[in-house]
Amino acid sequence: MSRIPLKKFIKFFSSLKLAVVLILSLGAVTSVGTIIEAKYNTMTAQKWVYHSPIMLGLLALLMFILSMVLLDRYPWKRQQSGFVLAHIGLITLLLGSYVTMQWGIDGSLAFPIGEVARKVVIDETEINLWSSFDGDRYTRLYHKDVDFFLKRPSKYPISIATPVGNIKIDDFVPYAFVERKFVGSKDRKKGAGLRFQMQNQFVNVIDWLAQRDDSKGAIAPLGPAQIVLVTGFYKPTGKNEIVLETNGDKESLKYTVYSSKVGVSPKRGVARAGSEIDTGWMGLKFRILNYFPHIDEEVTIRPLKYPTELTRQAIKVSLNDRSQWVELNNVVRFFVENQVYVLEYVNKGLDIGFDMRLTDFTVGRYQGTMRAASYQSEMDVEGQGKVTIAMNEPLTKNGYTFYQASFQEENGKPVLSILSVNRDPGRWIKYLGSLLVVLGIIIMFYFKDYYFPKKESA
Amino acid sequence: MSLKLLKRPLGLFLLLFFMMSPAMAVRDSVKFLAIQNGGRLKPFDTFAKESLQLLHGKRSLEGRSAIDVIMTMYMVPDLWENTKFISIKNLDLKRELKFEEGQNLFSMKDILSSTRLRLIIEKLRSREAMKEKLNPYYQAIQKIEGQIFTYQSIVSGQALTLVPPKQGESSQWLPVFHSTGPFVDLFSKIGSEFAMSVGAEVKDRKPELDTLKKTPAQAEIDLAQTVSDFSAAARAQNPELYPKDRDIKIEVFYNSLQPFMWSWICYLVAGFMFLMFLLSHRKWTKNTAFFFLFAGFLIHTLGFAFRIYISGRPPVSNMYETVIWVAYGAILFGFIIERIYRHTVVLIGSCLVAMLCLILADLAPAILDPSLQPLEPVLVSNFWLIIHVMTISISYAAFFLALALGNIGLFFYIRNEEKNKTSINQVTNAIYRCIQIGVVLLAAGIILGGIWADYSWGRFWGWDPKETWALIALLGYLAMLHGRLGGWIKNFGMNVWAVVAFSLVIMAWYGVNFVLGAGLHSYGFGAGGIEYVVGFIVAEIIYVVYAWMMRGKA
Repeated sequence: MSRIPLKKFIKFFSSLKLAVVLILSLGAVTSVGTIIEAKYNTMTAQKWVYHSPIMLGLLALLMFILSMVLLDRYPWKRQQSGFVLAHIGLITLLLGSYVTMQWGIDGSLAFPIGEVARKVVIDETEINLWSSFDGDRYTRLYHKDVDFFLKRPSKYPISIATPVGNIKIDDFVPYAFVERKFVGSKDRKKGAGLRFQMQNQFVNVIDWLAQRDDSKGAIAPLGPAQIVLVTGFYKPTGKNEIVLETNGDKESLKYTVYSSKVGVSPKRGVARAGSEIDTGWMGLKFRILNYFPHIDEEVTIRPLKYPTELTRQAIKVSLNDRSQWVELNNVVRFFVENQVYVLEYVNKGLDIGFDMRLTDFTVGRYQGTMRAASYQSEMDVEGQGKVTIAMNEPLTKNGYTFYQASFQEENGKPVLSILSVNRDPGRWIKYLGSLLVVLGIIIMFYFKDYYFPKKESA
Repeated sequence: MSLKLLKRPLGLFLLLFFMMSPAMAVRDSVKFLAIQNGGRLKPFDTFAKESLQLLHGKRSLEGRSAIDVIMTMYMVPDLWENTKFISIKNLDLKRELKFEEGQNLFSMKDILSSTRLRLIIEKLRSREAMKEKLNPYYQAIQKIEGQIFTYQSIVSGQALTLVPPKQGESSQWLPVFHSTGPFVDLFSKIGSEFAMSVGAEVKDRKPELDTLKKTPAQAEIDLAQTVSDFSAAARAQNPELYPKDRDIKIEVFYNSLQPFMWSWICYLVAGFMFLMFLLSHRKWTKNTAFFFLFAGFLIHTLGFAFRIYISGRPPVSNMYETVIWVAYGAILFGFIIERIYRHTVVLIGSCLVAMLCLILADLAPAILDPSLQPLEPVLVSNFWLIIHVMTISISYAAFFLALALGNIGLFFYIRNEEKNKTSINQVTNAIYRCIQIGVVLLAAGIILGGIWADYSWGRFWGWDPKETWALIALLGYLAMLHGRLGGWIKNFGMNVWAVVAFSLVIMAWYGVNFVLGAGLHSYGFGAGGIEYVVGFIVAEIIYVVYAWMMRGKA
């Protein structure tokens, strides 16, 4: 290439006209993003706009133009120092953002009180297919990183070949309201299930207790008591518990009520749908509202136009003539002959490499109200001991930073603390870029005339 | 400035002050009772004003003070149940309730006896259960619910949490009638003396009602004594939790002072005087203008100082406070630019902007909530937060000033471009300076916001709508500066851009919170006023187009 075209090339890409057009396009595209965010949610806006090829293309073009501008004005004169700094700063800032996007981690970590967690959940999703003969040992047959939001399975279906047929994923709903219910099944391999009510003057709990698929037992913990639905032998724990024994295909159950008090002998009998059992614990009555010796879990989804906090992403999974919906972070099981196939659709996880346990969680309230004024997690961190993580007081360890993000409460008591976990190798590049930009603008506007006398008139 | 020079402005100021001073307030002593409400301790005065604000939409009712309304609501609820004073403005909601659409005030009885009320609240519940976004209609239902709750808790006395817990107990204050000790008796004495005082006042006006033995002055004194007994008993119950006398007094004083009303009045006079100066070039007009500008600025500063003292934090945590802060910035930048370039016209722009902001803040409390609310946890004690919000919002002040100057500049273009050449040059130069200030501050503010976000949630940039719109506004002004550099935007273009680009700032400042209503900055969200804001933007655009057309003709 001769010198002239290169100069022309640089001139073209460093023209102010192009800069104005690019600035305005960036503004226009991002404003569309904010409208989409308001109408849908953050995830949708990011996928459709902020991380879209158009946006990335515009930013890349911006970086290119900025470099061309700097090249065009080279060699730089002293009175251009503000301009040069601001533009180099902008390039640095964009570079830092790219490093963050490419190598940074941004996820969350949820701790029930008293428990350990070490798997950071990030936004990306994956599917895994597992199979097992005995229900204990599982083998992974298939794994794939997926983004069903952008690559809709209705257009790009996924099909996984197994000896018993193809497991297919062929539909996806981004904002699904998921409802689950249990129905009686003719399949004798399925476990039993019942719907019960536990009631006294203070408490009224209605819930399902189901032996999921091929499991032999199911437990419903209810504070100081529990209800157990079991097939076969069960050894009482010594707590207050009602143990219900299934009886093959029959619609009746054998029950035993144990008390945690010493010297109270267990109460036995036979119950069926409609039966009421006096538990003897604080006047609690136990009623069986419905009982099925074999049940199926039915998942129905209602696709909504716009997301709410309760909607989830859901996919339709089918094997031969059976199909079932499953929402993100849940599994579908298929029983075929003497095997079980489990397909999971989950957010990807990342092991942080050390244990953290939430020992306690405290919420400070504004006086006389339930409004949270502050909250903090008391953590026990491997190799570091007791640490408090609070709003604006993060913990940094092994390159990760843990921020107190939010918490969940039930009946006015916190039950779950959510930390956001972050690793950002681009941070200092961005900070450097920011500093240069601001410094550059200030020099450009306020010190130019002062340091370097003007040569042209306005 | 010598005393002689000050005489005329000072006289004008004092005259205004006396004209605007409120009449002597009665039954004031009750204002000073401490109450726990809305997450903090406040004087009863603030509680009464905020409650009346919610119920009625204003802080007084047909000349009656909030204290009178709230106290009589508790003592004689029957009186208020049938009074049409509850403000409902949402048209859809009125239609749904089968209320007269032209009417804005309804009685509690109207509302509670409406057969549709339950249905409507059920609808809201199911929305909330599905965690869907609430549109203005549902927000209006929420408001009615709040009004019913507030009304009922005042009538039942549940809201009158005037008694501190005993030492060592929780931090929850008790409603008077739930408390033990002397409080129930003392408060009923306050009630009866309050009624006596109201009665005496009525008697004073209508002598035929002379059944009471006390004079209004005596009733006032007795009431003050009982109130002070009550406060003393409450303080004795828990000296640690009971607020300092000084704090209560300062807040009551702040409530009655209305500093931001005073400062906009001063800015109005100042702006007018600057205009007079431009037309007449008389020295005294300029002096008077500066006097009022400084007086307004002083009161403005004082108002800020009060808010900081009472809330214990910098006053930039909601829309109301940023509006007042922007007014402050507009005066400050205008003054600086005037000092450097001696363009008096800039200060007219400043006064216009500050006045507009402060009048809005003063007159639209339903949209711009002036009450001091507790902060979300993430906002508490955070240096970067304060810095970034203050920097960004004060950059809006510079852009707002540029808008005002743009309007003035276009006016010169419409009048006569040739004749006003000097003025146009001055205005355009000032616009350029304003936009430079704005760009520096906005760029720095956005970056500081990034630092804050990084510090608080580990994310420098998250495409949050508030930060994104601030960026879009910045891009708009950057495009303008590059265009000017490239020579496509000349003087006229600068004036036009200054006006048009401000719609981006409006979107970032107001639109994200009140129109988009999404994102992390949800603690600043509100509703209402959109028709006025859109009206403002449309009017500005029409003005720009008109100027464009007129300019072609000239």
